[in-house]
Amino acid sequence: MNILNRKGFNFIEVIIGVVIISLIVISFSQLFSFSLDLPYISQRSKALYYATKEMEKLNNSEYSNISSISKTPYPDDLDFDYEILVSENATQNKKDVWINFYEHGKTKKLVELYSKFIKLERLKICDDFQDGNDSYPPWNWSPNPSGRWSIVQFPANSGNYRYRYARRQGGYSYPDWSGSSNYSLSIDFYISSSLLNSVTLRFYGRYNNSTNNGYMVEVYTTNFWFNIYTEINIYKIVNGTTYYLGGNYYENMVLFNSWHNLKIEFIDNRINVYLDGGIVDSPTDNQFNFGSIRIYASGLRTYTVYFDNICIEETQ
Amino acid sequence: MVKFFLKKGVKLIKNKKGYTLIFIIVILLVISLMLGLTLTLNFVSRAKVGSFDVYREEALYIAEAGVKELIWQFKFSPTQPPNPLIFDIDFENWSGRGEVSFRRDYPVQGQITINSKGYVPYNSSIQVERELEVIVDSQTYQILKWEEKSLEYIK
Repeated sequence: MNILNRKGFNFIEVIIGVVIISLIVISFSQLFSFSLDLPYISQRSKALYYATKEMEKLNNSEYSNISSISKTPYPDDLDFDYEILVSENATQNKKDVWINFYEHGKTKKLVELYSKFIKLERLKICDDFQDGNDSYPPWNWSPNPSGRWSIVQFPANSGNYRYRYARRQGGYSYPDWSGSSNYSLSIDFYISSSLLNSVTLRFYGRYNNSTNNGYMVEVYTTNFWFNIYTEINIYKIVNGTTYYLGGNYYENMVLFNSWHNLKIEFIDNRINVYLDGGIVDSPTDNQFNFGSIRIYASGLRTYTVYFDNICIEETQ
Repeated sequence: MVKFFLKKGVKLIKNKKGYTLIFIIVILLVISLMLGLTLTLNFVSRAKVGSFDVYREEALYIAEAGVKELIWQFKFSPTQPPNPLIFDIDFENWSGRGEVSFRRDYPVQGQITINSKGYVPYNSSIQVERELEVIVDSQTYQILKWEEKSLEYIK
């Protein structure tokens, strides 16, 4: 009862009082700090959640459905505006995407996320040489012997550019395409020659241009006295040795001075070869399952061969 | 001397007269100081946590973008991609960096292991790093494995 009659506090009582009040203050301060969070940090956390949600939606979308949305109120929460900015590359298989979130009506970004999206559909590349050169796009070609291969208009001044080779000794060229497994190679060719001649064209696929291993289709066409025929053979090349896989022989058929198309399809272990849309043969082999392409020409006498529309298209 | 101070101390503790004004001033000072300090620390730490949440997400998507960019270059670029492949991203208030390296025929023949890192904010004393490890088929570039290799950490 003596405590009630006191006129002041002693030193220990003061210290205890300070400690009690401090604890109360700290407890209340937590409540204050939560309320102070709300205006900005809480909004930002929400915006981050929404931005992530939108990015995941794009991750699960078809490539073609990824498109820009100009700044607009966010439909799930009208306290926010958002925008999706998409820029696509020239070959239309890669998109850079920005997702930006704003407080409604404001211009300062609360959250911005960046990612890329790529199109992993079947690859289709065609070189029609209409850009007048044998360099990228779509490919940089490596001609051999260099200087013997050229891009020319054929017929002259027609505006149609072709890849030309004119030399009796053999020459080849290949693009810097890294290659694929299951794909088709389609090539248009025109052999300009006098009738007394024999010309060999070779088309390589699933071919390793460094180790010279892969598959090759040889088109041999001849019009030499009594030898008038075309022979198309399919080979496998292993460390410089060729192994015959299949082919066909066409009596009285010469491929000079007209356009033709050769197509090779690699589907798993099957190789389908077509000349002008007709099947030549379809042997099987499973030694090489990946590689690039190469073209080759040689002739007995003077000739010129024009290649055009060299296209590869993945089939699976 | 010791006795003198002990006596003085005991006297001071036992003395119950007129500390009111000093008590109130001291209490007010202590309360103001603690309240201000606690509020400031709380607010700053929460703001930092909010920023790191953003950095973490941005770094993750930059790492993902790096994987996609490398696969795109493998598949479509006429030249082989550099190793490592580095790209910078400019956000409104800071920048981010993607760094992608790859190993061919690893862990087994015919596979490529891609390690893609996202740094946000790049070139800052405090930054978040996230790393993805992705294994793709070296011929078809199909993704065989995709995982976050290291958890984010703050330098």
